Amino acid sequence: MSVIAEHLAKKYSNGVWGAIDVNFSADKSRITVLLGPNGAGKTTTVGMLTTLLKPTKGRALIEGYSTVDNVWKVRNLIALCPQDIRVDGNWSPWDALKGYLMIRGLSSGEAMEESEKYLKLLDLWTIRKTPAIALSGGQRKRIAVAMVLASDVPVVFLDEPSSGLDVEARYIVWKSLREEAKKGKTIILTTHDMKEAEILGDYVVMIGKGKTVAQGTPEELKHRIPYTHKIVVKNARKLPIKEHIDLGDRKVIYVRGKEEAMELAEKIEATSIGIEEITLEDAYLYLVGGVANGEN
Amino acid sequence: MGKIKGVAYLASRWIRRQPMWLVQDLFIVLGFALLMFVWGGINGLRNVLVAWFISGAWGMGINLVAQSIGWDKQQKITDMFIASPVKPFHYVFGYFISSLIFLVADFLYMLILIVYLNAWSIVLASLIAVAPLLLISNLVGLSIVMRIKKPTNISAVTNPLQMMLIILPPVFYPASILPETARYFVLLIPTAASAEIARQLSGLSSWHNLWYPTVILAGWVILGILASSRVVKWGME
Repeated sequence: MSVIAEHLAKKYSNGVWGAIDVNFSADKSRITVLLGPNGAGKTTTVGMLTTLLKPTKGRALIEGYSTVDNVWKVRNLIALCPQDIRVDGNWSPWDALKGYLMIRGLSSGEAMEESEKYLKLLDLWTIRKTPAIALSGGQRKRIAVAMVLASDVPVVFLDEPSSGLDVEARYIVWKSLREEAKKGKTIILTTHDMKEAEILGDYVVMIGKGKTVAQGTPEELKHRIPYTHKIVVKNARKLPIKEHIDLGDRKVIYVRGKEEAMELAEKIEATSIGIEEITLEDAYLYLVGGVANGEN
Repeated sequence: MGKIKGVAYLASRWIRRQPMWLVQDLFIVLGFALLMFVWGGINGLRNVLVAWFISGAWGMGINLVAQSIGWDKQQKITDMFIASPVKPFHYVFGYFISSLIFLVADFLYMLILIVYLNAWSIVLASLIAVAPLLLISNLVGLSIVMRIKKPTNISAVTNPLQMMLIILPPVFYPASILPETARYFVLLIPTAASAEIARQLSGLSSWHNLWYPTVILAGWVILGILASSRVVKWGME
């Protein structure tokens, strides 16, 4: 395994626990998604894995090296795109990549060559000489993503890389991440976007309240809940079932099998009734939030 | 070396994009030289040379390097550097090198004056005096910006501190004009101590007590190391 997190926990100096018990492993050529709500402990976990933070308990290994005992070995093997990174306004995309790659050991010429590839991959080539201050927030974020992807390291961490990106930019980032994973890199990213986790992730680690709640491939996680379908009802006049999720004028009912869904749908009176397959979001709500479990 | 070059490359981009800062520096150097000449004649011009070396060195650490590093921290760029092979020395030294352009520019602006006055002994004495001051200004600057939580406070704190310690204490004027008791007091300020060393070494001061400002600067170096080592952390927090 390329990355191993074992019972990782972090207590900050103000006494707050950022993470309590995070366990997972990530393999090469795979995108591992740390999925969880805001404040779940995703960024703290990434901080411990990238040597920004020292774990209070547990241990983390990167390519077999401990993040505490072999800090500099680990730092040679990783690259991080932090959450809320704001690329310096005076850097053009080309400056940013060239400088960062020089820092990572490439000569000026090599850095220029490598930068070109990644500027094109992240669709930044046409604006390569424009200072970041004149670029949009999304373009600046893509510069940061390009910087870490261009690094010749086996493990790449991206903390919410697509937050604040429009749909088109998000797809560009996703495509580039998939291509890098194909090359054999271990990619670990955090998100609270279920769709992103489902589409992009080869392996999803659900984190809630500082703990690993569930992990597996998106398909495995979907199968972990006892439902296969859900009925989404708009403006229900008659709802012959007590257990449902109340979203105001919409109700969501989870069922086991399509037949059960069809049968139940016939008894419901409403403006519209839709039957859908379970998504990762439903699995997430069930496993992390306990919503579908009737806890909310 | 590549890491330092990389940091210096990134850190110098703002100067390349905003070269007018260097032009502003030229007018300040010229303006002060004129002022000092009008009020102090040739002796005033000799003193302004010392003052510019001290002012440049102090501003470089407390303002340029510290501010840039403070902004990096706020913009999370530092986190990117921590999770890389860059060591704190590469990082700070990269910024230091990129900021040297201001010292070089000031030197070039003063070159006509230096040649005209044949003031090479003042240049040499000033260079000796600014070496510890550069270290102090960087250490003190870092220990201040690393404690600042609000990004808007970075310039608000470092700019006045830079100006205050250049304009008020005896940097543009010699400490020897002050009564001896007051002299011991004001030379506790690193910029004043450094200027006094330069003046004594170049014969511009009528006071002969090199030990006192030297000990003060040594004290500031130790204080700077202690203060910065408490707040400058490179990950693993």
